[in-house]
Amino acid sequence: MAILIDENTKVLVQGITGKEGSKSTKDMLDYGTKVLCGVTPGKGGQEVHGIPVYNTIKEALKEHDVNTSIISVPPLRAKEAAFEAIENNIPLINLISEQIPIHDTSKILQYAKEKNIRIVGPSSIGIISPGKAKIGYIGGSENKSFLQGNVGIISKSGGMCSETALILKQKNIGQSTVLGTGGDELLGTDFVDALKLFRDDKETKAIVLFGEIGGSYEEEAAKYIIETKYEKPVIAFISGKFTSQFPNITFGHAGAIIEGNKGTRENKIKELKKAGVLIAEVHHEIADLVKGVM
Amino acid sequence: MSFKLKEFEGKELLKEHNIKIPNSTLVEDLEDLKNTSKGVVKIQTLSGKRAKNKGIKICNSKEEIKNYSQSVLGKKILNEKIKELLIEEKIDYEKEYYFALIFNTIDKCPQLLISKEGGSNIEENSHTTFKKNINPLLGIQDNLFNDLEKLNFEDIIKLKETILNLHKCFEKNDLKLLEINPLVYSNEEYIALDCVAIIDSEALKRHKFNFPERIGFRKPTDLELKAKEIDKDDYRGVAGKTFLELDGDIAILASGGGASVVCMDALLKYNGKPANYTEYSGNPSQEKVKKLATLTLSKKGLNGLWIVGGTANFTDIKATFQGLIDAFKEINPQYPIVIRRAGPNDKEAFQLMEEESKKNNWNVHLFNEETPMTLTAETIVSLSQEYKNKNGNTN
Repeated sequence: MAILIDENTKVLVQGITGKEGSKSTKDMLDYGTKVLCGVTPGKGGQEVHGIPVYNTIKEALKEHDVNTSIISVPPLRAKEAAFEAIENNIPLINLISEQIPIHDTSKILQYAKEKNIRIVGPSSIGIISPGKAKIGYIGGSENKSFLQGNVGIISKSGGMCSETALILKQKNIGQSTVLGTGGDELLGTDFVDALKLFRDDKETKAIVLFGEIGGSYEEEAAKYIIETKYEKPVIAFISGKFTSQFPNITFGHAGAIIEGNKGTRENKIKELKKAGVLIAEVHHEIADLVKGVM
Repeated sequence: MSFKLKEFEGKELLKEHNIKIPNSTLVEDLEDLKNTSKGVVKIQTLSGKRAKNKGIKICNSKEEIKNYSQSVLGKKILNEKIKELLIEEKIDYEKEYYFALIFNTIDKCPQLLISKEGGSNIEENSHTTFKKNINPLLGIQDNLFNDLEKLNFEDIIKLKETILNLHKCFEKNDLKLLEINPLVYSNEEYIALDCVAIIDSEALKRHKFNFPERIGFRKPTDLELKAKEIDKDDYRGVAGKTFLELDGDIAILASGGGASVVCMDALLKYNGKPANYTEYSGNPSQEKVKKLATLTLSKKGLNGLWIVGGTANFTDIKATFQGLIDAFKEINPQYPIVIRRAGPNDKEAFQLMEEESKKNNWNVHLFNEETPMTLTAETIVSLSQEYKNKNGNTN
């Protein structure tokens, strides 16, 4: 087992002819992920790394049986692309596109909710279940940070998915699934959603949360852990001690904004500690904390 | 990211959407006062709390307006230089409300807030607020008004019209926040006396706003402005887009949005003092890295340099190292340099850096992915401390 993706994942890439779409298609194929087809309006009939391209998802689905779509399109086209995937009932959509306007994101998430479709993202780096499959940009072409095993990682930061997996790998601790949630203000799959999935995954024995300042997804996770008496150990790292000195500057992630007393690192850590979550003060301390509970 | 508007800018948007606002005059210099005789004079700032900082004054004569305007225009209040005053007719009202449209991050949809306890103490009265989620696909539905009707407003028809217009303004302008505090009922109308609007900067491209660019938490320094130029001049990758000049003695060249922040946290944890924050990523060219490194190292009083990043997916590490070497050749740094990086072509990159360091006597310490990123924070802090003790480069 693992969560969301495994050997049975069959992928369609929206925006496959773009630079990132094409590169990640090759990386996914090299990793063994079953990428079956791609869609770029107006580019139907082409091939990308041997994978057929269609003008619409509807056309692609006539030829291929897919259960996952990856969306890697320019930000102002993302809503249209996501709506197309939702209309066609693709059950898992990994929204890789960054800088999607928040009004568009809220519409995408509402439509997905009504059709019972899971969105991971926006601004997600992707998902990897080491040894089984990966989708999105995660791992690049080398994937050397990852190792198959029993720890689930949920991370707002894409780049830190690899680093967090790597410090575990160096202690010989592998991962069941590493999930890049994205760092936007509105997330299709937030910490609570991901914790729910990992709870039911037999392979996962412990979970690492990589959080950031801003919003309240970390606080919600703490509440959820208390309310459900979450049985698996959770280790967390919250970045943003430095950034909180500069409240008016955005450091990369749209969601990392502090409003009033809400969303501060101190508050997140306080709430998570209350829920029994182990907190790493410096990022690499995560490895020893995980080792301690395995 | 967001693009916050001043009151008078926000009110332009309200007016376009038929929301009632008081008659007003915008004053940018004292000449503009000619046609004003009395009214409420309000300094125009991005931060709130104007009333509590003497930024709002009710004036009953030309003289009073002039005196007050003179005392605030061009001055620094709430950390901002006051460039505009908004002079509005004074509206008498019986009741004030708090109104806002925000995004509810738990339910991931827009949310309407109305409180009968408007005014400047709204934060303390948040428990009395009426909150209702809005389905972003459907907009405001009738059931919302059924619920509001129970709250005994003066004129539910007029209120309904106002709310629908406010929602249209929120949606059509891609606002992340629209806050009217207070919204008052006067002469059988609902009138917006103040306005806080934040535009979603991700959506700016699909609008034609004429609002001037927002400035960050302080006036940018020369170094910060030059760093921005580096990024603008060259489209390949990002380098220098975010550059903050700080007071410490350890120069920073970090890679990756999330990773760079994690590393800065670690540096602070080990009591290191950063001389700057900057980030380069997305496969920047050799030239661009050289420029950013040269600029970063041009700062006086440095006791160390920390070049840190995770395992890159796309960035050619060799090209970025060549850029660093070019910069080192120009500056010839004597303080310790700690580098932690991995990614495409990293073996060749490390070899090149080792050779050049030996040749030029640079004090470079190289780490690859086998050493955790944040652990090298401790290394640079202790090496730079040693250097400082020996060489007396105190600042």
